[in-house]
Amino acid sequence: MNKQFLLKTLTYLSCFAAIAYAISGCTDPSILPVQTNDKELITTIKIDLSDTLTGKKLNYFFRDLDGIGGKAPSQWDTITLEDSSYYRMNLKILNESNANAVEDITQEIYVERANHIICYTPLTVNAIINRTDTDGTYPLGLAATWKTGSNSLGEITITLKHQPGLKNGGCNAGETDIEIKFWTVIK
Amino acid sequence: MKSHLIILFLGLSLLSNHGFGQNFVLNGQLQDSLSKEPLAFASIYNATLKTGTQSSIDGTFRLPLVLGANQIHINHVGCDTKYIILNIRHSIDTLIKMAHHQHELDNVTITADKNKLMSMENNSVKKDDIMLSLAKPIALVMDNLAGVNSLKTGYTIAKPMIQGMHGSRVGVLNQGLKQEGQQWGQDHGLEIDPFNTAQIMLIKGAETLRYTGDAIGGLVLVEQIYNNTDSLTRTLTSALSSNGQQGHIGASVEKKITKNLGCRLQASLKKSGNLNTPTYFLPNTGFEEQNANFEVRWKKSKHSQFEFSSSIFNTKVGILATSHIGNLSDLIKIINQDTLYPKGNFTYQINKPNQNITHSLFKIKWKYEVSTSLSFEATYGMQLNRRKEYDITRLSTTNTPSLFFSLNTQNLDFMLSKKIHHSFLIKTGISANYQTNIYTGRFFIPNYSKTELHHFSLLRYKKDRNEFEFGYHYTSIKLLAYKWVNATTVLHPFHFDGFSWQGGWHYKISHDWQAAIQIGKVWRNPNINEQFSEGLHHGAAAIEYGNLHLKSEKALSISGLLKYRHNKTLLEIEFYGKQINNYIYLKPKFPPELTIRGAFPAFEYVQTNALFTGIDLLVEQVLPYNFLVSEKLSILNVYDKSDITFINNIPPYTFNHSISYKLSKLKKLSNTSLRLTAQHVLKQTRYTDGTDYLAPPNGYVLINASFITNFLRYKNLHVFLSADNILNTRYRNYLNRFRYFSDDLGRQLTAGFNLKF
Repeated sequence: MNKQFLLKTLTYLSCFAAIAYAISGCTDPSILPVQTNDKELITTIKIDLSDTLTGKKLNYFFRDLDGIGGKAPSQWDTITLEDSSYYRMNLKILNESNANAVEDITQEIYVERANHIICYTPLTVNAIINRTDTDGTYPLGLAATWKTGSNSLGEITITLKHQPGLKNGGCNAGETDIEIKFWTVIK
Repeated sequence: MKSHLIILFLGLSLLSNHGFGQNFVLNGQLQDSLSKEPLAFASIYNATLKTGTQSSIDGTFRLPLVLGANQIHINHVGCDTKYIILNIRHSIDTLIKMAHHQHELDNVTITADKNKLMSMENNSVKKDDIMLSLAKPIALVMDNLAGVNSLKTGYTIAKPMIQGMHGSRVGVLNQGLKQEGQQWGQDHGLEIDPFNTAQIMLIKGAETLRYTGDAIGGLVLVEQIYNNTDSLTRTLTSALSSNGQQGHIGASVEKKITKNLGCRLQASLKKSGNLNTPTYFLPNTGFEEQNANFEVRWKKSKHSQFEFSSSIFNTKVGILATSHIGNLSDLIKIINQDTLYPKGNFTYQINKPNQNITHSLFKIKWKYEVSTSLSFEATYGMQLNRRKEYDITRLSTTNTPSLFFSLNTQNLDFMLSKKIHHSFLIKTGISANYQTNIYTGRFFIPNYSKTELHHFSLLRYKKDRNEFEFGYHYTSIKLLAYKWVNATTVLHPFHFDGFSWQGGWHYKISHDWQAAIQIGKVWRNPNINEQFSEGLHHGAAAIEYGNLHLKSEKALSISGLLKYRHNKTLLEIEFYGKQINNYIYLKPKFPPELTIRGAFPAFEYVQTNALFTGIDLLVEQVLPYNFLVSEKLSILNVYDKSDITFINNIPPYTFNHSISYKLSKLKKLSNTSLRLTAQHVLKQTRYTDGTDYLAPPNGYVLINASFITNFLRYKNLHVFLSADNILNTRYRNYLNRFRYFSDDLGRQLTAGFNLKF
């Protein structure tokens, strides 16, 4: 093998390698990119209740700031309500994984109301929950009225379903985005 | 495809042993007419005298002859058996040129085959079978190999599983490079186009150490088409398939620009709509693919050869819409419903969720023959894998991928190959890899950079009826993983190194019987997903936890092979046992975790000691009237030795019964072959209750048929028809993760042609 040929080959090979490196992009894996978060993450739901008679405001939270998996939820309130009362409820859905940039997901759900539904299912609690907002055809559930009866103890399950093209007014179809059981006391 | 191998008898001489008059000897040499490489380990058999021999490393052989007609069979892997009749009356000195059966193989195969300890019929998928499966993903074509199953997520996303091993325990070599990108999760398929595939081969034992030190299961070698013909060759291939109303079309042009410079350009397009089970359509299961391949081979001088390949594979695959689920109760609900809700209808539209993947590959290889016994190879390879995953998003207008990976791999490889005294063959080399991964979107795998250094040597020694091989592979891996926690980067450095070795002994008991035994110890470092994955897996409704403290796997394997071939009977059997210490797998964590989405089952990567034992068997018998029956059997048992439980996702016992009918001439048709296959898969009963959401499905029998022919008047036109699941049987495949959600595919009829002009 002659030396000149070897040199020539090596030159070609190194040119090729250089081009290849340029194509492959000289990105450094240690540099933080623009977006590394999960756009779909929901960490928090907040139940705002106001007593229509007294005007008293109540807030109850579920918070799991690192999302699904990892650490256990940091806040999971027990709902305490007065008996024989009438409340107006607004539901807030948030992503608080980054304390400096809290995202309000409630708005996104409202925009996509034709594909979402929220269901409230009381169990052994004397409460009647009626959704007051709709997508035009079916209920949505970001706003509701809560009517309590006599003293009781149990749970209220709040379910948010994503039902792209499947919405039929029920909470059976689709993908579960939220499903939380809140301990509820009426006294 | 018929191979294109021409065997030359070079310097052939027929010598008579004077005085006996009956004993003559044929001294010959087998050579590949194209590459001029000697063909080693071909079997040459004199059927008249019932004696045989094997060609040595330099292709030479010595075969006894008798007076009169001698029927000689020459058999080399990768081409069909050649029959010659030699009439011996007196001693002659002559040179005979023989054109072997037409065959379109290039020398890659021959090199690889030559280096296998024992050639098993069942270890490669040939052109005809690839043509019949053109409309399928490549991993499903590999199912034809002994002991190979495909691990699937739906239909299109599939990866090979060898003797129960998958992921990084199985290597896939595409165009001579280790395919990068398929090793992570189960839903990472294999990005290779079957339209440009000449042959698929299974490599186990020491030869795997040439390429990698961690292929505990083995390697699958995918070889691209390169005809190396002097004239302009154009092909047009097309297939239409009923299930999904699929259309596949491919074309290629190959030309030698000068005597020493040839190039080939190939491209293919594929499109499929929603697939269907026997009773309903599967929503959002269409796919499309655009592939292209360009290859240049330049013979610079008699001793120096260059190969340049570049290919691009681009696919968009819809993922079964109902598999995107929210929590455990969603999953249980789907499992308990008999049919799918909502049912799909037919459309070519691909919605979310889907995957969009581009895999590009560039390779340059230089081979230099220093002398007839010493050669040198240098290869540079680069692979860019871009993978975009689109989940179902809250806002239907979102167009950015939920997850975007960019995986870049470069590698440089040098190898020396030296023959000593016709009986020794030594290969040794070094290689280096550099890989980076960068993601955007939700977390699954962190960013990382990985540097690998490899050194390997293989030794092969042949003496009389014995052949020995030994190989080792040393690997050193430096991995820097960058995990972002609260907008800061946390560096996790890792260093793994280890030594793998394998040895084997092949013994030719008689002309009909051959036996081989292989033993080895191979290690594998934990994969990045096994270390780092954290969070939700949408399709599986599971939370996965990686484990930073995983140790490397160490596998001790022993296998025994036995082959019998006599006239019309073929028997091949392989027994194997693998003891894997620190075997890494996903284990359920109890109780399920409570999350904002309700209850979720959690899984974590743990290590145990596992024992894999199994048998792969092939029996073939030629019957009168051109019939051939064949029986394939794969049996595998796996135990978790520490926990005394079974390990999930292990292939159930599989039987394959087939009968084929071959006619070389039928009216206006030639080389016609008709095959009927019954694939019988038993229920996986080695399962521990409660370790999966759904117990393994029942066994099933699928009836498949295929027909391939070409016309006497248009020899270059091949026509093929195939029918899968003819009886439209409803079944679920244990190795398909979508068995939770839906039945597997219903009847699929495919018709196609291959035209050369």
